[in-house]
Amino acid sequence: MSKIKSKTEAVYTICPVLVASHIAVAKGWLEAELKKKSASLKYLRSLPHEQWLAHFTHERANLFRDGGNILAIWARSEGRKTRLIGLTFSGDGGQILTRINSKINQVADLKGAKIGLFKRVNPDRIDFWRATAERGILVALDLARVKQKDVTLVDLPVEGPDYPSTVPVNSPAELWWNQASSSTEKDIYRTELDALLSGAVDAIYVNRGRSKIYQSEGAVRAIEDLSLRPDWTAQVANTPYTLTVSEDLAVKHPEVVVAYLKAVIKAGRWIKENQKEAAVIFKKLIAKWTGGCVAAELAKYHFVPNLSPKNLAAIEVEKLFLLKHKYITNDFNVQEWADSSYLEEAQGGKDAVIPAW
Amino acid sequence: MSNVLEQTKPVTATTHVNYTICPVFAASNVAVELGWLEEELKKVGAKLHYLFTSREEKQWLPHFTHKLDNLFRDGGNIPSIWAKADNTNTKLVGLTWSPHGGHVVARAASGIARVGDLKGKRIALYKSGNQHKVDWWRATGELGILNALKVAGLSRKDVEITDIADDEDQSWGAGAKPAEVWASRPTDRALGVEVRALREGRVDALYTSQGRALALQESGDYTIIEDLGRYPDWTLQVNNSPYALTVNADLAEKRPEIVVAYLRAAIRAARWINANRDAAATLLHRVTFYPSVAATAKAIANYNFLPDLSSRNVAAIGITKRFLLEHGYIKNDFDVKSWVDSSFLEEAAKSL
Repeated sequence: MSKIKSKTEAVYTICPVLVASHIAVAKGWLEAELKKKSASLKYLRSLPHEQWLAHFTHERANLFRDGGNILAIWARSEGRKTRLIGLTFSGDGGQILTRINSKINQVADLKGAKIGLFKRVNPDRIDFWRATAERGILVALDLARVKQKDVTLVDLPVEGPDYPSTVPVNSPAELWWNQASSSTEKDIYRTELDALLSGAVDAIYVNRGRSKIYQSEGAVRAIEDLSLRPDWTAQVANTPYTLTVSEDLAVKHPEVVVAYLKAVIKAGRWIKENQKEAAVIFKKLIAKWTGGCVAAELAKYHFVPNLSPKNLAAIEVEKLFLLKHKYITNDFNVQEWADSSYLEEAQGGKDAVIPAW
Repeated sequence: MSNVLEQTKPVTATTHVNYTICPVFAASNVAVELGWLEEELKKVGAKLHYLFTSREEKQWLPHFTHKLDNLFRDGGNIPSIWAKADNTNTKLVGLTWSPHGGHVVARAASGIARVGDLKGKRIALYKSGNQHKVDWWRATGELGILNALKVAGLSRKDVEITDIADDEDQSWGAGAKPAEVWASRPTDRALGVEVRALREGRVDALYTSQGRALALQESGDYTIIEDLGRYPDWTLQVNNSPYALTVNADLAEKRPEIVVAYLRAAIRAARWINANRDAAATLLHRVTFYPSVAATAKAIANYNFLPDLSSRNVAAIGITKRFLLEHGYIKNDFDVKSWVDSSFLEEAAKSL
């Protein structure tokens, strides 16, 4: 027998978005906090690629996932045993783009127009990209008092690949950086832009990061930026980002969940104080963004996760949209999904004075 | 040090270089104020001469036509495009994005609160009597008005566009540097003659640049009913901007090191502004028409002064050129991409 107790093994996966988990990984804090609780840490995509699907399905007993909420909501609605332990708000909301020489100058002008909508051909999992875009388009139309029946949503079918490379990597930074620096990989998410530029559609929805890149190329412009709207529900767009964990791990090793959150809280606070350094780290993870864009985004938001009433209400907004538009089939109770006990403990107790944001 | 600078042979005869800059947020203005433009040019054996120091008749004309040897011009892109299209062979060596787009202004007491309320109303459009140059202020006004109507769901036929003729004062003032010339301008002229028409009720609204609109608003008599910079659509912000830095093609060909030296000064100034915005606002207030240093500081808070020749900036020049052609402000078309020469900017950036 080895003198070392059998270690708890935790696996993590993070979307390429602005969440503190990335900084906790990059600074080594996540690994260090888990180590204190005798837990080891592995990146999901350091395992053979047959196991990578858990990023989307959460089908794994020891997985932490931080990122877009649509997949987390879908996994929960499909009966995966997960707990929601933190949320990070982003006010991105997304934008509607048209060509620069288009006669469409505002969303109200979209009456009778064709709007492109990404469609993943493989039905193995929820099409979160499409769901995000569909919600953004409907919100924009609603704000401009245009009825959905007055526009044509044009499906833009996209077939894989799911992973530009299936070679295991050690960290998210390595994964996204390799992907972004590879000139041969086709960026499947440029499908909408291609359709807009070719004239196949008159408008598309994109997130702010892509919008900035696409506009910088000089051929398209934004006629709506949902982040400028005072209504925060207009900004629910695969956000707030959800930090979820497998229930099995949460029940058997709550101390590991608390350790994860401690590292993330530390990272969230560090981002606020060290925006330039944080931008350099995020730049590698979201490589298509410029460092300047990242720094500007970091200045806008807070990165310590919470389970505030507003953030939970935002998850409810997203869930109801997914139900109504049949992206998910089963309803569930968001309040019961959320478990704030880990966050409270990580923050130093229920009565800890947390800066309000 | 750059290759260009290292290769420069000792220059025996000093080259005289002229410059002129519009009263806008361009790093060139600060490079002049800090003395860096003079310093950089001196290093390559060039002596700097400000266009408006001359007291000759029509000394201002090359500010628009670019018909003067060894002239650098930084500022509003409309005269630069006109010069290239119809007057002089120049190269476009830098562009500075401005996010402002301009404002529509009405009398505060008029009850007009938004562009939609201008249906059937009169909007002032400046018309210069000066036949020697492109009527750039009219072009800017026309593009701004059309943009504002467009996003309000209106078109030209929904309003009455009223020409406000100006027998443009042809003595433009003189001075050792831009700050002196602009300070010598009477307020009425600096803010635009359409203001009088608005004040007297001959029109109901006018379009103007952000600095002038803020100055009008401060008087308490006027209010801003549209800010084209508030939209996500960047094409609405293209109006006499991005600011264009141009130079005679033959100087660029014969003395590339002088162009690189100018850009070095501009880049140094831009970096300095980006890092010292409050101090920069004090300098920029001298060379623009914003009502105060504080208003200037606010206006430049999110502004990137570093000149570049990015795809979007170049596309913006294409948009302006098309507008000028379609509305008869320029006669000849030209290829924007071949006007652009990024080699000087690349060399300058590399050398710093």
